[in-house]
Amino acid sequence: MGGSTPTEALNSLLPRCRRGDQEAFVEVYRLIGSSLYGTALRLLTRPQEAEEAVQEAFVKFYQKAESIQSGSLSGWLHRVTVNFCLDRLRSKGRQEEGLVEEPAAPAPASRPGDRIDLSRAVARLPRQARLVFLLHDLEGYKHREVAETLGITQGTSKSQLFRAREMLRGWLGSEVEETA
Amino acid sequence: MSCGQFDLWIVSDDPADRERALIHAAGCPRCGEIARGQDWLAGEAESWRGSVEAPAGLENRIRLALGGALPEPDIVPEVTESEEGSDTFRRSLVWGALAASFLVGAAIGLFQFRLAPRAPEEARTLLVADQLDAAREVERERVREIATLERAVAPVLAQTRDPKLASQRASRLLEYQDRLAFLDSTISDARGFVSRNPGHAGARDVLLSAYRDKTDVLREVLALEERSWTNEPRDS
Repeated sequence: MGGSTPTEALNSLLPRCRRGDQEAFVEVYRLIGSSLYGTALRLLTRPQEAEEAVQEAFVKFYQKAESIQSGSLSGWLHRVTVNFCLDRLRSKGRQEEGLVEEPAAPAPASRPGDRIDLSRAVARLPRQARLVFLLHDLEGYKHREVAETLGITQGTSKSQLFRAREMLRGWLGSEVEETA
Repeated sequence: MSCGQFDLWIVSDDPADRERALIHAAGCPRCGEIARGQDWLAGEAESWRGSVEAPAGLENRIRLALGGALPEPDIVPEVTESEEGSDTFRRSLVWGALAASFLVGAAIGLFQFRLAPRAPEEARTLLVADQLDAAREVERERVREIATLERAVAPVLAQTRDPKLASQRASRLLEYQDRLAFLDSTISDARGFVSRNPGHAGARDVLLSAYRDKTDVLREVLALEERSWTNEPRDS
């Protein structure tokens, strides 16, 4: 989960973090901070909120470093970050807004031939389909984990993922044809 | 295998399901197109995942949130004065000294915060989301109270522009103006620091303390005004 993080380097830093070594936390941030920030930014879409999510993850890491298992630090930090983002979305009522079933089509490109990039297209997915796509295809969650995290069934997770991918494929179809 | 089964297997976590889906797609134009599109999408997602860089200031923010080195100059207001011999200059010396003592106190507090042992139970110095919301609410309450007091105090302080005002009273009001100007400067600096480091408990304490001081001074001005109407005749 969380992409290609240098797991061995993180593992070697964890004992120092458990001893409260300030620089070890900073080194962990340097190894994985951008990945966490990217995760938060994709979910929340606002840079300021994404920064808060990463800060919150590190504060929790600082508080609970002793209880984190070796080898799972990257996953733990990503999960804390994702949970913070989902809580933030819920608290703002965005998730309810996102349950609207029919999405708006992506904004047309300003000129013929302009690319509609993936981030813009994903932002226009219905909320649940967007979250399932981001958690499964970007964060590496399994359907079981997506289902637990979002409180849905695995079947719903699969159908929402198929739906999200098909919407994106339709919106970005011209690029598929160019590259296929 | 039907195209309906393909739709579920192509998104499955089980490699065997995906293998079966691809076998079906090889002989089905509709599903073949979907499979090619999803492969392309996976590549785009992979490149998107690695394309984001954290902002440059975030590392320092994390460091501060964990009680690391603090950029002390961020909370130091500038106190400059060059009008030698004037009343303003004498007042500035008094308030400069007070400012210095305030900042030394704040610096000592922050220094102690920085040097404190970093045991997990010391988490009270790091504000997590709920604590942050609570702190912001307390601050908002103070700001509302200050706004109300400022409206009441404005006509009192405006008396300093009246040439007929008794000199003793004018002097006291000018002192209050200086104190308020100093506190505004401190609040402005502390708010700037807090906006960059919202989870920093020590900085939020400094901000709240400045709010409290300003509230006290505004109340003193109002109390002075009340006494003036009962005890202090004006020399008009």
